[in-house]
Order: sequence, then C-alpha cells, then structure tokens
Amino acid sequence: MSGRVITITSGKGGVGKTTTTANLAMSLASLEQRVVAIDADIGLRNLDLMMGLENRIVYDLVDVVEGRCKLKQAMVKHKDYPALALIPASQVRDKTAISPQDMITVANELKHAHDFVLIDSPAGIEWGFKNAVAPADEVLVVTNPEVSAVRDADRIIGLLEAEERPVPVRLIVNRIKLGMVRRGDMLSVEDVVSLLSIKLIGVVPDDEIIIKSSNEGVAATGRPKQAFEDIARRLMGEKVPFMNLDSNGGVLERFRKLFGGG
Amino acid sequence: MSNIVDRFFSRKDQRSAKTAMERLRFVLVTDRSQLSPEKLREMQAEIIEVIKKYCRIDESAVEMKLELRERENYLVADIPLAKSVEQPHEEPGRIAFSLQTSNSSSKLEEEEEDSE
Repeated sequence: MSGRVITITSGKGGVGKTTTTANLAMSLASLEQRVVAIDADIGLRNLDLMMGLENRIVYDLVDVVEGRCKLKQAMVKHKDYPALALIPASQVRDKTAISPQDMITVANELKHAHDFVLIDSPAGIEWGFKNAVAPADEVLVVTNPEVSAVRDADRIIGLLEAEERPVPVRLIVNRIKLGMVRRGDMLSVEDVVSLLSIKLIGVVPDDEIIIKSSNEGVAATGRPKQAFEDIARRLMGEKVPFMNLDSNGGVLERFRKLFGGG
Repeated sequence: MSNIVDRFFSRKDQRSAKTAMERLRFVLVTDRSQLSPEKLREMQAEIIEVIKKYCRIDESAVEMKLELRERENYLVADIPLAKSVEQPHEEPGRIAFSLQTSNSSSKLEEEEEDSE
C-alpha cells in the first residue's frame, strides 16, 4: 500500500512548523507507522535538531537530488524509533538547488515503503514553499492565534486553493493560551477557524515543555505531546475528540471557575 | 455572578481579541480580493455614475463593502433609490446586489427588494 505525503507549512516563520513536523513524525512512529520526515528548508536546516539527529547526518536532500548518494543513504534513522527516518536539508546550498519535480520524484520513491512522508516546508510563499507542496497529498497549515500568523495562513490557503491540483488542507492552531483567550486578549480557536474557514485537525496549547523538549531534541511531553498524538491519530483516520483545554488552567482559571466564570 | 467575576478579572477596555478579529476580517477580504479601500471607493463612484444614468439614487446613503462568507468573498452594495417627487406613484425602493469576488467568473446576483 502506498503512503501519504503530508506537507506542513504556514506562510509566516516561527509559528512552530518544524516543531510540529518533528513531533507529528515521532507521534506517528510511536503509533507504529513507518514515517520519513523531509526537511525542505534548504539552507536553514533545523528539523534534525528538533529530532535530535544533528550528529548523524552524512548526506542530505540536495545530495540525493544531484546524485551523490542513494536515497537510502540520506535517510537518518531515528535513535528511539526504528521506523522513523529523516532526510535532512542541505545547510550549504540554497533552495534553488531543488525543483518541484525533484521533490515529487523523491516523495514518490519514499511513498512505497512508508505510511507517511512528512515534509517540513520553509516559511514564505516562494520557491521553497512550492517545492514542499508539489508532492503533497495533503497539507497542514500551522498558525498561531495572532494577527500576522492568521493573515499569512489565509494567504497560503488561498494559494493552495488556486493550485492546479488542489489537495485537502487542514489547520493546526499552535500556541494557544487559554488564559488570554478567556480574558478576551487572544483569538480563540473558533475565531481563527471562522476567519480561515478550513477544517481544523489540531490545537496545541502553548507550553514551556516545548522549549525544554526542543532543547534536548526529544519528543514533547505532557499536554503538547497529547495534542500531537491526537493529530497523528486523526491523520491515521481515527475520530479523536478535541482536547479540553479548560481542564488544566492556572490558579486564576480555577479561581474563576470556582465562581462560575466561563 | 459570572459577570461580576468576569468584570473583576478582565479589564473591559482591553478586548484586544475583538479588535484583532475586526482587523483581520477587514484585511483578509482586502487581501483576497486585492481590492484596496481606495480602489473600492473609486469603483463605487463609477458604479454610482452608471446607476445614475438610469435612476435617481440617494448618493449619501450608498454603502459598498467587501464581506467574508466562509472562503468566498462578496462585494455587497446597498444603494437606496431617491424618493421620487415627480412620480409620486412610484414606491421608494432600493437596489441591493452582491458580487462574488472569490472566483474568476464574478456573478451579479439580484437580491430581493428591501422594504424599509
């Protein structure tokens, strides 16, 4: 059976694309899926760091495309999940070293032996983005509940809809801070979904755990881990209810709840 | 009770999420239609000129705006006809139409007459 190619993109930089890709890849692998993650951010390699594989890189995506190595040789096996591999981005070349057709060729070859091929797109709407979405069967757009991130997400969704071969697009709202939403100082998930009018596949709470786990190059723990695992299961076709972000509010939240607020 | 607590914990003057929503609604529809507020005003003036060839309208009350409906964008216009003095038998009415801007084949759809 052929696997699915899923591209993770956002338009705006710094919304958590790479963190999301790394954690989804690790979540899918822990659910016994065969996964390969491709870092398509040529020149700004980072997925390797998020997955804790930076010391094991020999070849990269550009080496594959330019024929200096076999695809298999560029696949860095994950230390904790044998069914997970990374194809790193080149750190020395720029994005024009690869074409959309190259990405399609690589992804098609990987599809046969994997359940999921995840592609971490670079920020922006230019060359790198076009490369990253060219082979996609599906696209996940990551955004934050913040004006510029939502605007850029809308732009990306518009571009994807205008593609010759439109693919399903689903939304991940990352870094939601429930306390701020409650105070009316942050867009809620509902707000973002109503503005962008696309299907939601996941909500990831803002959590310091993410910084800690990325420091160590390991999978997130706690509530973010749960959120990523939920998304992974939804990708696998399971019906998973959305996490109740209300359940673990701060002291203020609990106090408010005690008095019936919200 | 809930209201009192809400008031206590949130500064009413600082509903920044609401402001964000309003700003985004405006900017998304402008981005999607690639119609700046200035272009919109220009177009409104031209449309009014065309309509004036055929009927008298209350220019000061003309309202034309872009609106988000799901992933479709609409140009919505509210154009009240002037109350006619010469022809008292004519009911004052209004022209209302909306123009979809999200796809290339823009369609002009007539809406039911609004009675005031």
